[in-house]
Amino acid sequence: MNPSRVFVFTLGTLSAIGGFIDIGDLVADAQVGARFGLRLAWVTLFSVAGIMCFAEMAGRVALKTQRPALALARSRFGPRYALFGLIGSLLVTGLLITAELSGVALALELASSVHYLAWIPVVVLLVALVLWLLPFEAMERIYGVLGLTMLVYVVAVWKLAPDWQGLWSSATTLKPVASESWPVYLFFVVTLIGAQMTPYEMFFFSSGAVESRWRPKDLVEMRINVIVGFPLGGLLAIAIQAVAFLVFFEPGVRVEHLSETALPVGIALGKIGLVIAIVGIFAATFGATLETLLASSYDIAQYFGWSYGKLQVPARAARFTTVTLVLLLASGAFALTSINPITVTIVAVACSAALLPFLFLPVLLVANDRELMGELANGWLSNAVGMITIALSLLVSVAAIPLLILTRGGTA
Amino acid sequence: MSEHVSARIALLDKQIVDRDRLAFGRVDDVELSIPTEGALPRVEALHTGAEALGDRLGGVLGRWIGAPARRLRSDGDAPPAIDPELVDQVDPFVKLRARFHELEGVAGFEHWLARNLVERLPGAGHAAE
Repeated sequence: MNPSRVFVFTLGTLSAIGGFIDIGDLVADAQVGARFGLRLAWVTLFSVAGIMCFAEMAGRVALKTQRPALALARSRFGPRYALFGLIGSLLVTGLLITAELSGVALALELASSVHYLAWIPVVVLLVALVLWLLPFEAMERIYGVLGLTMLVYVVAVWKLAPDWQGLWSSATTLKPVASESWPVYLFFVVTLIGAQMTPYEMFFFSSGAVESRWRPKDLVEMRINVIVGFPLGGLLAIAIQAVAFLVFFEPGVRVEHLSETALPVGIALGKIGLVIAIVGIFAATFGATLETLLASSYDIAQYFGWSYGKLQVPARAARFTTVTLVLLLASGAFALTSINPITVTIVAVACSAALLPFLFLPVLLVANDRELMGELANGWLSNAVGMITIALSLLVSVAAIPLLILTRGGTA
Repeated sequence: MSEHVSARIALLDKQIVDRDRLAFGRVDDVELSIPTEGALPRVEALHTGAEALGDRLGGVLGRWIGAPARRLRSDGDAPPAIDPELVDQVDPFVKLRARFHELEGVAGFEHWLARNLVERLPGAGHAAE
């Protein structure tokens, strides 16, 4: 590997971290940690394995065909199935744009004490400027490097000097704590899966591979990105659960605001720690805003076959540019209705969980098409992990909406 | 195109790109004709755009998708169609010999948005370059 290749691999890895931790994770992890300790950490392990498998598969399809996996879905499975997938993922990812935008604004509120609603227009403008001015890789790099500050959560776990034995026994107890019911426990299983195995990561990863002009020779690089990036994201997720457990579980504090996800770091590491955590939250949610927004416009453009992406001048992708702008403004307007961003997040991730198998299945089928994929078709490992993930996500899919209603979003 | 291939597999829903590989739509429908009784069907035109897609999907959803495109089309203009003579290759994309900007009546909304919105923004470049 020459130095420039090492550099490129770092970029992709960083983007995988930034893509994994977003508002959904921050909220779900902190809530889960505060209420269940590490008793749901196994869900994160499962989610990491699942999303790694499908991101790698979608990445491989993109390398081989120079087309994102979902762009192939329409010509393979017909316009009806693809339209169903498009509408479903737009509903979920569209809600997430609003949630991530609010997350950026909330991070700015933490830093400035100015109400987050006042920050929303500023954030919308900032997102528009970044999308307009920065090339794809610079964008990934900036929020990726800033996202590394999230590692402060791992440091905070050490600093809180936990009883490691207790953490381990919490992580290995696969049932709710005495004060919580099974439906609520299961609802948070669904929420964590929805927050961590987000299909937009897979769409964005494969569209990003196309935008970065990756080719079959970049296979190893792509796999390193997956193998390093997503587990690091998973480590951060478990660290957020752990600090929330250590600080909030005993006093019985329920996480209802984004600030409470940063608070444990402040307690462990003081003001400096809090500042670093806020920078991390800002970077993660800002990066996720870009990802969810672009993933939504990519989806629409690919379904209808429009030119898209940042490789063209915007005037040569006028419909794509317009859709991106409209989605951004609409999400900003929705956020300004003062709808609770935490509620939006929880609903979005639960719906995302319900859609998972329908969005994973086409990728699995395309990656198995030997005529299309040649020597890059799925091996037994991808197929085994992929099938298990889809089988379990079918269960999650059936249970997601009933649990959302039954537990009133985990508040019952 | 005189080869005998399955239009459903070879054409329908495929990405269409122009001479410079600029994507602008998909094959949303294929118009066939049967010259004489018992003869093989011939491709008369490739239809692209939401109107053709909506008609093909049918039902309420199809109407919703097709209606805006139908309304936006000027009275008297035919629905967007591509002459199969312009098709250079069909795999993996339907690639045309012409440039997108030379095709009349195809993806009118793209042209309109480029002209009236996107090109006016600073640094957007020009669609025809």
